[in-house]
Amino acid sequence: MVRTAVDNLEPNDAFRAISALRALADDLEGEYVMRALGKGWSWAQIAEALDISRQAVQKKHRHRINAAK
Amino acid sequence: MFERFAKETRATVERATEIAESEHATLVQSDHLLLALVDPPRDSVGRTLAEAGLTAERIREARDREFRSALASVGVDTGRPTPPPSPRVRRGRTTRFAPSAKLALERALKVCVERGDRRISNRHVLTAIVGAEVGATPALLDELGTTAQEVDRLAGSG
Repeated sequence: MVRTAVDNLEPNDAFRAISALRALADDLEGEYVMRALGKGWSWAQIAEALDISRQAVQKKHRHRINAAK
Repeated sequence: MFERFAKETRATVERATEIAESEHATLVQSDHLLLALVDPPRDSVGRTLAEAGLTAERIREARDREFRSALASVGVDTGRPTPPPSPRVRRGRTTRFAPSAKLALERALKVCVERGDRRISNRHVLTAIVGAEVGATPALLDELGTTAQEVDRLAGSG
């Protein structure tokens, strides 16, 4: 059912969905990075799980640590 | 470009930046400009919108519904409120403008010129924001139970 849904959208609806998915993905990433750190994950482990560099994941989410303090 | 803005409109842009920052958005979008007109209402445009039910609260709720409906169209179900737009790398303190906001301000200038007005007003900005024919704005207006034409009509009566 999901496959049918994504294949039959009007372009603007598709673009709205894509923007929403990107925002959701980043929101979830930020939340789960914080949860993982809280559970004792290292930045290196988080980076590996996301398949991005440690530098990139820290740069992206370090402000959340500062905000949480 | 800002030299052609009325004082009220510069205040709207500043308020939009404050709202975006309070929502932890790294970019000011057109929905922040729209919210800035009514949060709080500072002039007849803002008051007319709020009295017609286009309050900051209802706009935020409509934005959340639009977000969830966009996701629902691809089979994703979430009760989460609208997150901020995908963050960009932060370059310094100044919050920058997303294309939707830049386009709204550019269109506001065009509207101003078309109407033969000297200064870009909040009325021009409102017309420009709701005049976006693509992206989330048409759906947002839909969720608010209105249309661009109706909002224009309201703004004209304010």
